[in-house]
Formats: sequence, structure tokens, C-alpha cells
Amino acid sequence: MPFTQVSNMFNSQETVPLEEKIYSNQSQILNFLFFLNTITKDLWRSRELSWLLFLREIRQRYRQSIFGLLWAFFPPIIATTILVFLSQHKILNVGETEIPYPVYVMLGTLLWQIFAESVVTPLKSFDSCVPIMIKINMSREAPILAGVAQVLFFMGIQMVLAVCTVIYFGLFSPAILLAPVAVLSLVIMGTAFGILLVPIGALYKDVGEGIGMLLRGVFLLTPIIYPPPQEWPWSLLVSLNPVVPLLQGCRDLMATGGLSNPFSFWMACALSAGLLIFALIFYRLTLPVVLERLGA
Amino acid sequence: MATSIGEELILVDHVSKKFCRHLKRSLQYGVMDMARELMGRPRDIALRRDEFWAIKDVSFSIKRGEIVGVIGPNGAGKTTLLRLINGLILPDQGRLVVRGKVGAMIQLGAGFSPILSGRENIHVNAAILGMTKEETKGKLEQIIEFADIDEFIDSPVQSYSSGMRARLGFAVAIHMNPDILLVDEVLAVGDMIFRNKALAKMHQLATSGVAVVFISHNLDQVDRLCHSSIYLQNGQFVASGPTREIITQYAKASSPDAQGARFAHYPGTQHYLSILQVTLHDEAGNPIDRVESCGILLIRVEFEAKQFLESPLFSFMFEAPGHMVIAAIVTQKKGSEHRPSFSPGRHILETKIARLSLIPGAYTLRASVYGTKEIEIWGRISRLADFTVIPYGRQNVITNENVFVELDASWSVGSTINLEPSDAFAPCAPPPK
Repeated sequence: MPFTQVSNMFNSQETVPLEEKIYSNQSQILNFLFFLNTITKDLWRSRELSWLLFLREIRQRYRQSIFGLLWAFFPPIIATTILVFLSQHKILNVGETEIPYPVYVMLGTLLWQIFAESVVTPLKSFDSCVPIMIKINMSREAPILAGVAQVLFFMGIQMVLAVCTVIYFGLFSPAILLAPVAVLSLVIMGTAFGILLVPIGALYKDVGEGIGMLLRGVFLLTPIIYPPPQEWPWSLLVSLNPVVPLLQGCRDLMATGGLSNPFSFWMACALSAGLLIFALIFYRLTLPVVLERLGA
Repeated sequence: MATSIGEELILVDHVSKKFCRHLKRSLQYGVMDMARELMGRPRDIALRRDEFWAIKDVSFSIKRGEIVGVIGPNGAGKTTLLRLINGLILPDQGRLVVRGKVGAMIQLGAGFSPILSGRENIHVNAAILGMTKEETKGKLEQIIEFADIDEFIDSPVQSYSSGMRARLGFAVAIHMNPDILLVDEVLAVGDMIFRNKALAKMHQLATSGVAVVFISHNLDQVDRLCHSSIYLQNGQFVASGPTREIITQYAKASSPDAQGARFAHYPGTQHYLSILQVTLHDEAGNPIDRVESCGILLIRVEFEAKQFLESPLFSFMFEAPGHMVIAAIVTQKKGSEHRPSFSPGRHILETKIARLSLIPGAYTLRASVYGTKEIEIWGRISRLADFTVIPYGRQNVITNENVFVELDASWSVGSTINLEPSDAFAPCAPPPK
């Protein structure tokens, strides 16, 4: 009897051919279509794991916390309060903004936080999975996707605050329904940058330290707490900064009911999508080398 | 290169892999390798500064249903080999073909989160190992039952003992229905009952057609589980074949005395006596280094007492491959109180074993010398002598099992129908000498 069982099993295995993997020293990029196919398949396969990793992260974060989700609300509220106080008393002179300054600052800092979080999260999420990834052939994309889920969760909370602010100041308009597209593009762009930093960042801790500093710098160079400069050469700050069209666009859609610069906004959206695809390919290509260096 | 590999699930074809000793330089090489990969160039074959071959030109294949042990000293490249098969790292030379779903038991409970419950962790862990939500749901009860932690399953994992954690990790890993199972030194934890259960389960998987690659420093486990083994040293392939033979070869090469240090005394015990010479003889007194199983063996030990040794107890132990002591004799017979004392100077101790009940194989003799009250240890000497036990007649039947000693027994055959004690119980003939 055991023999028939075994042979049955072999037969059933033969009907579904086993997946065959070949590992060699040739660059994976040489068979590009196959490589792309593998990435898309794996992205789809990793959805359940990503979700579980996301849930695990959220549960871990809030199971030992009293304020829990409230922590996501504190920074923008505090920042806005301080900035409004400073500008009302002319300590900080930011000039005229199209929309009331508190709304301007509030939305700006909220959106910036979402962007900054998207840049930082891929590397953080990857790092937390490294001990597993160097031992087990788990889905390569799962840490990244779990990171994106975290950012989207965070984004949702921030958006609640943003919508409340807009409604409180009586600026609500139907254009706000387009805002999610804009915010998602912002997340996509941030994530793409974040993923591009992962391979080097996993090897050199300098990258992790550097990102924070860089983001603080870019924050001050981006018209978030002050209106965009119009005169040359300071207007370059706006036109060369890929984050500005998206951030401005979001703020416009939420508070003014229309896009002030639709062309650059949609260009930036397309750029984000392209950048994300490139980042995912780059990540997947370099990953075996990274894991090899981390696990040795 | 032939494309069809038939029933072979793993094909390792002249594979080499290099690593770097120096961390900063290793990271630097990593960045360089990334650039090569992006430019579509193959990996650099030459060794760069501080690099060494962790695996060099290793080839073998593993078929469905085979359990193959990988043995070798630390740094032999065993784990690297497993990581290559698992596709975690890519070879610098050669290629690997891996067919089917790979299950890895490399770090049990990888990704267990201490503050989440056992049940929550099963879901995450199973997903990490590649199981779908439905698969996990369907096997949840089996997993919990196999891990035997029913009452703790909803408590946070931080309250588990390390053995419980390992059990849970093992239970998840074994239930993922792989075609290939990679096991790296994971049965070091957990109690005996669980270890046996785990070994039995792996054996069962192999009989159902899974190919198992088993890494362990516990040669006893390798011996019990694996049909054949691969012996690696310094990243190079040394030998492969039936597990007993490979283990014997490895044990011989890796015993500390292989480099000539015979009669190695345990540190701190050389003040009492030192061994001068040990010889083995047959019944006629001729020196031998092989003896027939169940035959007669004489051991002659010449030693120097460095001080007056009052009634010491000598114990000679027979070590099977893998440093496992499987039999012993002592210099005090059952029912006797007498033990001789030795004055300083040279002495000869002779013992005769009338029936050396060891199963054919390679053995090593070692000794311990206990003080008068058997509390103190006056000597502990490894590798007094090596010898081979050769089979008599039909004995091969037993050597296929994991047995080392054949007990002296007499047999009789009875019939339940016609019970005439006088002729129904006729003693069997003793084994031929």
C-alpha cells in the first residue's frame, strides 16, 4: 500500500510541473522579460505576507502604548500652533498665502510628513526583516509592501486631520475628492526614493542617518510653511524640486478647489509612477548582493 | 548541459562562492558587485583582496525521497551551501538547479514577535515561509497539536521557553509541504521526546518523496536520519557516500589526535599517571588492529604511575564514530571489592574481552582513571588505540540499523500447537567465531 501512495503522489506532481529555478553567476538583467515577470508574480504572491507584516508592526507599535494613534496627530498640531503664534506676532514673517495661514501650514506639514514617512519607511521596514531575509527565502518585496501599507495607514490618519481642518475653516469643495490621487502620488514618489536608498542603506548605516538630515533640509527649502518664492533665482527652489508640484497640488485640491499648475502636477504624478517601477527593478537586481554581504 | 534532470530535485554543478573576511571591504565589494549586476556583467571570478572561497567547485545532486546529511567542521561551507540551494545568495561560479517548493528550517521561529501570541505568530511565520492564508488556516490545528503547546497558544511568545519556541517554529516549518526541505542545525534545542518526533517526521516526509538536506554537528542524528552524506572541509568537497562510511572518515580526520596527539591527557590529570603504550592482541598474543565481531580481544596498557596510586579504577571505553561512547569495561568485576594499588614506576595492565560484542565498524579506545573513592579523576585519556571490527558471516543485517552492540543471547524455538518442552526448546548454535 505505501508504494501505491508514493507513486500516486509522484503522478500528481507530474501533472503540475515543479517550478524550476536556476541560479548562476550571470546577471539577472540579461533575461529582462523573465526578470520582470518574476517581479510582478512575486509582488502578487507577497500580498498576504505584506499584510501580516503590516498588522504585526501596527500591533507591536500600539500594544504597549496608551496614546496609540494619537501620536500621529500631535506633531502637525503642535507645529501649526507654534507657527501660527509666531506669524501672528510678526516674529516670523512669511508673507501672504492664498489660503488662511493656519490651513496652509497645517496641510503643508501634514503632507510633508506623509512624504517624509514614505522616504524613510522602506529602509526601516527592510532593516527589520533582514534577520529573517538572510536566513529564509521569504518574499523579497514583502517588507517594502508592508512599509507602503504602514505609510498608507499613517496617511489615512493624517488625512482625517487635514479634512477636519479644511471643514473647520469652511474651505470644503468637491475638488477634495481628487486629493487622494495627489496624496498617493506623493506617497509613490517618496516610496520610490526610499526603495532606491535601500540597497546602499542596508550596507551603510550612513544612509539611514543621512536621510533624516536631508529631509529636514529639504523641508526648509520646500514652500511648506512659507509661500513659494516668485522671483528668479529663488523660484528655482520650486521648479527643480519634484516634491513641490505634488505637495502644492494636494494643498490646492483640498483648500482652493482647483489646481494652480495642472501641467507640472500631472507630470510629477507620471514621474512618480515611472520612478517606482524603476526602483522596484533596481531593488530586486541588487538584493542578492546585499543579502550576501549582510549574511556573511 | 542536459536540460532534463529527471527525478533530481537539486543539482549543484561546479558551484563556487567567495566571501570577504574584512567587513568594510566586503561592503565595498558589495557596492561594486551591485554595479556589475546592473550593467549585466557576470560576477567576478578572481579573488579580490581579503576574499576566500567559502565553497569551491562543489558538485552533487539529490533526488526525490533522499535524505542527505552534510557534515564537516565549522567553516566548512555547510550553511553557505544551504543558502545557495535556498537561492538566498547566488553562486560566483557554476550553477544550481532547484526544482519544487523549498522549505527551510534554518532559523526556527524566524520573525517570531515576542509580544504577539503563538497563534498570531503562526500566521506570520507561515506566510514568511511561503504558505497561503488558506493553507495556514487548514493546518493550524495540526501545527498546534504537533508543537504540543495547546494551552499556551494564545499567550505572548515571550512567555514561552526556548524549547517551546523551537517546537512551534519546527511545527510551522514542517507543515508547509515542501518538495525540498533544508534543515540547518535546528534540533539542538527541544527535549528528547520532541527531537525524536521531529526526526521521525522528517523521515516520514522523505518516504513521501521529499528531498531532505540535513546539516548537523550531531553525528548521531545524521547517522540515524541520512542514507548518504556529503563531507565538506574548507569549502571543498571531500567525500560522499553511505553515511556510516562518511562519518567514520570525518570522525577520524577530525579527532584532536588525528594530528598525532595520541594519549592526549585531559588538562590537569597528568600528575597521576601517563600512558606509555597501548597494544591490541588476538587470543594468541599477536598484535592486531582489526578484530572479528564477537571475537576475542586482548588490551595491553603500559603506564607509568607518577605517585602511589591507591586502588584506582580503570575504565576503558569504546567510542563509535562521532565521539559517542557505546560500551565500557572497568577493572573491578561485579561482586568484587578488590582493586590493586600501584607504586610509582612502570606497570602493565592487561585485560581480556572474551566476546567483543561490537558491530562491524571503526572504533576508538579511550580511558578514564578514577581515584580511590571514585570522586577524583586521576586520568582521562583520549584515543588509546584505533581498531576496526570486521563482520562475521550474516552480520550485515544488523549493521544497516543504528546498532553498535550485539548482545550475547541464546535462542530457542517453540511451537504453540505441540508444546513438548523437551524437544521444542532446543538451544540455537552460537554464532560462528
